[in-house]
Amino acid sequence: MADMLRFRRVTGEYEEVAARVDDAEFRAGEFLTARTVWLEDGTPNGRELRQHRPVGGDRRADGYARLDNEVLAGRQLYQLGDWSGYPAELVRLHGDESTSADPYALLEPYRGEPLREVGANLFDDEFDKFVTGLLTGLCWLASAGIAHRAISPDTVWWDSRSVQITDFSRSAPFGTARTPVGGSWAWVPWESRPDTCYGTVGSADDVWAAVRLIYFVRSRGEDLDDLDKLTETGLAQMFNGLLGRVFGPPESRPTASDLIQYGLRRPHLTPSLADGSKPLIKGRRSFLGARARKHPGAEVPAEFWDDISWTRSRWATASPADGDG
Amino acid sequence: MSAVHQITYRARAGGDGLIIVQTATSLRDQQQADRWRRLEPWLRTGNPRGSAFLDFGSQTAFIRWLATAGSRLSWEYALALVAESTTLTGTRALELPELDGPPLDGARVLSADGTPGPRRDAVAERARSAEAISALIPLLAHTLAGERRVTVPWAAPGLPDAVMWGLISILRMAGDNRAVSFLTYASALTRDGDIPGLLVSFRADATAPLPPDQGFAALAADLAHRFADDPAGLSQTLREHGVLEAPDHNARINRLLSLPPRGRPGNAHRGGTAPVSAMYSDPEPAASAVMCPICLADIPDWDALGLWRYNSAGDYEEIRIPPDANPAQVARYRFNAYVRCPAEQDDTTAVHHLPARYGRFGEPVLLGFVGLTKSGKSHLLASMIGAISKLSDYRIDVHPLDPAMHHRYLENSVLPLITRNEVLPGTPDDATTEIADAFVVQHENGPERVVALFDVSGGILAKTDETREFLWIADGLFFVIDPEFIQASKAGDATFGNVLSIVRDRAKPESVSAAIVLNKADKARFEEPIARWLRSGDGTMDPTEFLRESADVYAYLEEHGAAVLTAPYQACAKATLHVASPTGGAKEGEEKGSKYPRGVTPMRVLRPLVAMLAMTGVLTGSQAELIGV
Repeated sequence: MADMLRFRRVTGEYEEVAARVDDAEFRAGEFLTARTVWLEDGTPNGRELRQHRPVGGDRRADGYARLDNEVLAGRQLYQLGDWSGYPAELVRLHGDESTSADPYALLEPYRGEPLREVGANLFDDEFDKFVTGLLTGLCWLASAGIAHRAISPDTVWWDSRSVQITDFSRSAPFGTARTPVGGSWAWVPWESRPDTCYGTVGSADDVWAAVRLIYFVRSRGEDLDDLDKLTETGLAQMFNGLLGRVFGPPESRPTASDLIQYGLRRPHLTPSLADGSKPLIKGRRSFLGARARKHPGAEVPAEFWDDISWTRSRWATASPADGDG
Repeated sequence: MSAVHQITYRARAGGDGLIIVQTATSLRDQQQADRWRRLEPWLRTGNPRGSAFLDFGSQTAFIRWLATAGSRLSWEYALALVAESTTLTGTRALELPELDGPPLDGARVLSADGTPGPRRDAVAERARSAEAISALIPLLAHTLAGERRVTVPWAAPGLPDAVMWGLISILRMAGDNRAVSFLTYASALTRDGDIPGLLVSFRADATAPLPPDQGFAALAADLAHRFADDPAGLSQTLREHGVLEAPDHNARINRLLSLPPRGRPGNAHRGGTAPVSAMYSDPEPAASAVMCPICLADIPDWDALGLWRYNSAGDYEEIRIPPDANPAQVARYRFNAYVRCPAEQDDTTAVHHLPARYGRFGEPVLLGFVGLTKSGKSHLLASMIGAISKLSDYRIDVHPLDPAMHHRYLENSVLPLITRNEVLPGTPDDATTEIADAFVVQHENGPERVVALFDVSGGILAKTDETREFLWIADGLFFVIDPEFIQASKAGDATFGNVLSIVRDRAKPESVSAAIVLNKADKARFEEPIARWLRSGDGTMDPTEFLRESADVYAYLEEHGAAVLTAPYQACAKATLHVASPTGGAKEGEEKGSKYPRGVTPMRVLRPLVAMLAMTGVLTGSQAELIGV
């Protein structure tokens, strides 16, 4: 069956193209379904993509919101670099149609299988790739100012060469109020659980579940039910004692970048701020200039620049080595 | 669920406060158990000094808290009883025994056979005492005036229970079956979004009750004294005079006002006289000179103006108050009344009326919306008013100045947009500029102020030869921008320029505040920094948060080559910039009667209003003073 799809490419141009559609639907994130489409855009045999759409029925409004999350994350990640530089650890958005009553996102097919299926069977040399890949993926996400908020063996995939973080349906930009995340509490930190949700989304939100996922793979499929097991499995030592703070409050939790640099003690190239942010930084300074001309003597509050969505990291000015870990 | 079920909780310290864990429940139905997660925010608002009764409509809950000696937590244990609202009523809850030890983890199903609880006699007795009647009168007055959220100063242990017993008893005797919820000792800010009907919060930090309308205070005093004298007699009187059969609230008030006088002076039970504070004999501040916002005429003596009623034929008719009318009767006449502006009429100004309470709270604060046609001014105003009760999250108490005007606005604008997802028609160019809606606003224990909101056609504002009088005296202006037209606005928005030229020519140009609103921000919801702010919820009063959002929106406009749209920031003394989405999504077409296919979910619509209330001095305190600077 061929349809015409008109959508906005992640690069910003609008495209109208014929597509073959496989009507078989499968679940793709919370309140979303997916089906396979092949765009007739000149790619041999068509470009295979997944079309994510909101579910029908009484959760459709939730589906709209989840799809918006997918699109926002995809567009923000694109701005980190062009396609050649796009991080392999994160699923890619191809385009989206976000204005109509029947919106959709077009994503490249996920690679490999969920860790729920294959996580217990990684070889020892694959484990190291998995750990650095997962944490590097989270660093890229943090650089885009996005928290995934649903890291688990179901959303992180493995293709025997690399990790891929998928399903941004519950993701949120840094600095926004945390909303409750449902699902198994084994993978949701308490600051995001329905009964104890508080605070704002930040760069340490995903680390809680990421370390549990690392344990899940290390232990060949077990959920972490006792923090002593981090020592028994060698993970506490591997991360140089930093894991002790992972399960505390998010305000003192290390970030993924911290775990690489100060835990694994590996050289780590943190992606720079997206170019798209630079005009904003200039504009903010311009605002402060206008304010100073209008209100001479009005001080800029000390905490004004200390904003997670601007600095991307809580430790923009201080190293976690200064902390208690 | 016909029985009373029990849920027990424990609290422990967490990184950011209290972590609450449900330890046991007698509910076996998981769906039902999940539904009671709604109690979690309420559990945070109370402590062992009080209890909470929450009426969610078909179901009710009653919560008691307990702390053990030496605990650093405000509470350690909580017990919630939940049942159908016909089984667990407010008065029934007040009869239940105090919590004398940690609730058992093995939760039980309690019997609900209707027999009085052990505290019934004591509570009922105290409800008729002088101290309870004194506290009840202002609360009952606000309730009769139709208010939904009332905060009362906490005075003594057990007194709130007695007051609530009296209130609920009188309401039920009068056939008023609205849901009544209460917190007898609220220790934290109450988030009351899902509670229907009336919510009464007793707070130790509430230093003074709001002054109720004089007429309602008189009516409340009359009912409370009758209750203190003889509850059964009051019940019989109300029944005999058809109060129970009144078809609606207004009819009930009218019948209550026509009750025959009491046979003897009102004495509280046990012979004591219930002292009614002098504040209630003259509750509203003395009216001062007020300027008419329609024609700019000075009205020197507001209280001397005659009263008018808007009748069912759509005309105003004068109200003749008999010279011997008692206070209750005067209140009845004044209810929903208007005054006629006394200025002489000419060719350009027709006869016009204002709500009679408009001039009774000092100088009103006038707020207007400025922007091109289709910039979304009417939708922004409607969504603001639709969400206005959420101002309670900022400790701002709001109630309509004129219930009839408010009802009209709800029916014509808020309900079509919010509940029926309909696109609102634009404000016609030839529409008379009238107050769209107005509220009496009070921040914490500060003074009450009238805040009036005006909606004007963008077409009118874009014309240099036509102005609207209120612009010459407006205290605050919302400058509304549609993101789609930002690129086209490099030469500026004609409405902004016209209005700012009026602002500069005003007698006191510095007195107007500005909130620049990047409206319909859902159109830019995937762009930085719009995405962040649009998803940031209702936020707090922190002035730094307002400053950050202002900086980001300023930067966004500058980045898109539309710095000219920040002109109001330069021209007005205090100013903020915001993102807002009145609908949360796009409409499906341009034709009349089109809808918002994704439904309507307003986002960040209250933030510009909160900023404006702060900048215009309606909100008080050190934080409010810094907003807009």
